[in-house]
Amino acid sequence: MKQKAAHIRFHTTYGQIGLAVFLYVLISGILLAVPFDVNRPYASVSSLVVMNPWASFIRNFHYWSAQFFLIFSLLHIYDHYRKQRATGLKRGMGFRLSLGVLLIFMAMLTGFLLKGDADSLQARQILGTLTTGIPLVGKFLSATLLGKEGSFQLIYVHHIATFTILLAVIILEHSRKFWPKAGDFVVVFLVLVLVSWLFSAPLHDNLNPTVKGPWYFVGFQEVLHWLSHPEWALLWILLLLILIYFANSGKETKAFLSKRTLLILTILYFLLTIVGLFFRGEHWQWMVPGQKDYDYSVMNNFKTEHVDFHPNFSAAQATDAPLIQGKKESCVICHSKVHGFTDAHNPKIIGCFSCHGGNPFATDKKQAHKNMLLIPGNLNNAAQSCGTTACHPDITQRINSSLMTTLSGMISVDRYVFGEQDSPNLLTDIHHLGHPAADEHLRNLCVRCHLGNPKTIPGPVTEKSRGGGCLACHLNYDKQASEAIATHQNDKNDTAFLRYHPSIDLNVNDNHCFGCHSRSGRISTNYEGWHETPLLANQMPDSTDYRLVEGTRVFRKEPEDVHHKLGMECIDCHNSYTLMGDGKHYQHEENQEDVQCTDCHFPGVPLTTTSRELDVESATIAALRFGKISGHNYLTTHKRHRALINTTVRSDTARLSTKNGGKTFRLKSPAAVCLAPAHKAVSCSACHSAWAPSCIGCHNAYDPNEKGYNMVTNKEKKGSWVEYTGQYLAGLPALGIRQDGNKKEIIPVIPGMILTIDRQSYTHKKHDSLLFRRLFAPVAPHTTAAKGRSCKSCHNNPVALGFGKGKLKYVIDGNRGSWRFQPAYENNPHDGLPEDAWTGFLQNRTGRVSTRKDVKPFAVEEQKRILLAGACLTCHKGNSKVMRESLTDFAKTLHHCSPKCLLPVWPKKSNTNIP
Amino acid sequence: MTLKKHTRRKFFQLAAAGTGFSMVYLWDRMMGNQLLTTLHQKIVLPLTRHLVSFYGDYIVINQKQHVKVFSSHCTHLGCLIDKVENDRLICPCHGSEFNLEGDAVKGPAYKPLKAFPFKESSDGQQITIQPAET
Repeated sequence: MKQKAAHIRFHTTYGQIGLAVFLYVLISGILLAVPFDVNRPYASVSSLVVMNPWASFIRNFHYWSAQFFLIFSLLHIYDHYRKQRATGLKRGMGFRLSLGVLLIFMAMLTGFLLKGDADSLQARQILGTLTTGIPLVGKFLSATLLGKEGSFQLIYVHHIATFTILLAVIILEHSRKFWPKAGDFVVVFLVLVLVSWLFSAPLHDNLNPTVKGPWYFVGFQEVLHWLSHPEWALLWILLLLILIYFANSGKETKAFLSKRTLLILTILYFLLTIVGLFFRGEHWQWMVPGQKDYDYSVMNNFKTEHVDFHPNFSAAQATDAPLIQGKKESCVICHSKVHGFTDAHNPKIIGCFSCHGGNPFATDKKQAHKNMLLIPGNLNNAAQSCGTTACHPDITQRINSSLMTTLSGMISVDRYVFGEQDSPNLLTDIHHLGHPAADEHLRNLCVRCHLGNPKTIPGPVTEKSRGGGCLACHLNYDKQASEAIATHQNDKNDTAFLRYHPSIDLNVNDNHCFGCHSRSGRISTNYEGWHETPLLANQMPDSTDYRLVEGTRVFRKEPEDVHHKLGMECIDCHNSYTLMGDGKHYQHEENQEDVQCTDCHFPGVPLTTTSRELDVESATIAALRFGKISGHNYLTTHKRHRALINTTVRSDTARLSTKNGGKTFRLKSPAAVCLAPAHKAVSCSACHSAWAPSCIGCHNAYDPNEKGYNMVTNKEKKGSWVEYTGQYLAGLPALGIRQDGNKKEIIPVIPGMILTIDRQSYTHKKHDSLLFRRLFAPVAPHTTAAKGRSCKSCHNNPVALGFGKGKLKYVIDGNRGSWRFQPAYENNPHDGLPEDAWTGFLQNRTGRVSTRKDVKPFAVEEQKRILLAGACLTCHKGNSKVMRESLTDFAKTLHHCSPKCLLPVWPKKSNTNIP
Repeated sequence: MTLKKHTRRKFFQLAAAGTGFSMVYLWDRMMGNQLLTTLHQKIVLPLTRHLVSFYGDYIVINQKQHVKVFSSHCTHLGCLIDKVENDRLICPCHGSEFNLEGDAVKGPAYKPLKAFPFKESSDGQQITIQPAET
């Protein structure tokens, strides 16, 4: 009796459990049909998940009972084969049982399709294509199975009726009973309740680009990925069904071989399923744990939450919340009163999830905020926030090749200066930094300013801000939002800031650029008319001519850029393609920059683009900034033919409007002196830069005890490179030559790198001697003056010529004239040149002379030509008739010069080369 | 007696087969007509400045006023292509890639995307697609 009781208590089979589970599939399916709306499958499923936890539980129950039914059915088959119970079934029965396996998969697959999410929609396409591939009847079979494109009605019918009824009939015929054992029924119920409460059924958020089929088909998806002719996969399915048939009804050897084959195929399929589930990400790319975005791309499917029967919001609140992108999103139920957005980022349209991630179907705060992005738009998450398919994917791709992201020029020049590479022009990226001396120098002192440096603390962009991806430029806090976040940062219990969201918009102003661009070349401060001094904060004079930046750096007033004086901001010249990149890697900023002075200040006929010809990005920005754009003609850059969308050309008059302020200016053509043949090679900035910052005599050494910083990881460390700076100067820049093939351009340069580097202090290698560098750097000073520099400031100025400060004098000795130069600074013992010089007086200097391969100081012959005109200027005023005429034909002017004119006689040894 | 039995079974087998074929015939006729009703529907889409626009079953490529319309169904398994990256149309299911001419440049797909003939409206704002039978 006891034995019998034990038998009743413990003996069951996979088949009997499967039967119990099947009944739960039916019951939960009937219940689930109530909230499910076949006309809006994704909306109705997401709504029931968000709004009705009990319905969500039923859905989970239905899902898990179906999964268990599949698993126990397969175990049941295995059990039969293992115990050889199924062998020798009648052919009809064997066929129907084989068909039953197919029906189980079809019933489950149609259930998967009925979610209507991104996974389901793609699975539907695959199923349709494969079915269509069946010879003769494929097209009709596909239409009969799936129905009209976009409609789920027929799939629903097949799911709840066709496959379910056929399956029930086969089960009934096979098992000869319909009711499971009471014990199985109860135990299965308890397990299903627990699992359905703990693990929610999958629902794609329709944002993550990874799409996968149901778990039992990802192995098949992996196989399909290998096949260019996927219709062959149908033969495999047919083969499997035949094998099952023979395993059921075949004679002994045939049945044995079929079962063994099935076992081997099942093991292989299991391995393929593991591959599909855990090693395939977006676009079915191979991914391994630890790889960037692995968690987002691969593991997203496994992020499931338990059912919370006490949501943080009422059903009425949930009902009132709008559908977001076709789905119910719980975020906007709680955060319904947040404001501060532009129309494009209105959460009623794009929700919160589109940018912040998290779980859009969660019903409590903890679940919803799990894995959310507090600060979206950092480049490490931009592809998952700003760059998702429906938003700005092209920009978040190309921004990665922008110089502001790669820092290619900065890194390459630094390595060149440290002697670690032979060219300053090699393309590189901040992600490729190693630990040689130069790279450590960059980590310690330079590379905090890149767009990939993540913003980690919410709040407005300030002069201390660095990086921040998209937010570096597009984040704007209004007064209320600024105050609210500041209050929260002082008092974490204050949550008023949650109502005031910062705006993400096109209102990029100079403050966004200031943090990074007030350093190194200091173009932001130059532009505003501030020059950095070596003064400490406590030494700053109490005067409006001085300004404190970041609480420590003291700046002195210098002339501001004429464009700044007019109210123009950085973005009025620098457009989206030069700032965010155009998808190409560039070596240096002058390579990436598209806009030139002459695009706006053009002589003759302007280069224009009509509004119809605008690219979509320019057209969108133009329309958002200035409204109607049709019928407009825009000035266009000569370098890359990009329209300048804040300009217009009408009746031969070109105008520029500021992008933020809306001020409009008529654009002026260059002066006659600019267009003179003698100045053909002179760049605009060579003449019109009022001043440029420079520093000379800097020493660099590594101090292992210095409190340092790793700017890549943003962590403090012990040991750092230290710069012992020399003088900070502001004055007219020196000039040099940029040579591109046969084309020469005279450009402004500054003594960026007259320095010594003690490499040995870092490397501890005996052969590492002290490096001395005398490299000038091309510069765009951003200190434009309306009036260009005087003739003498170039032709008679030793600084302009690259000799450094000193007395440059034209000496008349009898009937001979000659130039003499007396430097202000002592000669540097490393190369014998005055400390601030770029080249020697009437000497050539070649080799490692500048931070570019194509920039060099004036050669002797070029110096002579400049000084020849300089000699004339010692007697003739710059605006005299003879000097003006000389601009057109200097040779002719010389030919007609008076006997009184004493042209310079050059020393015979004037071709000395300086290393 | 045996002959009689055999004849009856044969009769019912033939009758069942006939019924089955009749159902298949009816299915064939119905589906043929059903599919005809869904074909030859004109599709009107906006023509924007976007280099690539995705409209459900269609992808519109607008390269400097040179417009092309392709099916957005990947030629591998029919998945809807919804992403362009570096001027490559990328299928989300198995990573097949197509260039803006519709040619497959990365497998598993090897056939080009199906191109559709279309007409551009006089104001250049719309295109009308007349899908031929697929």
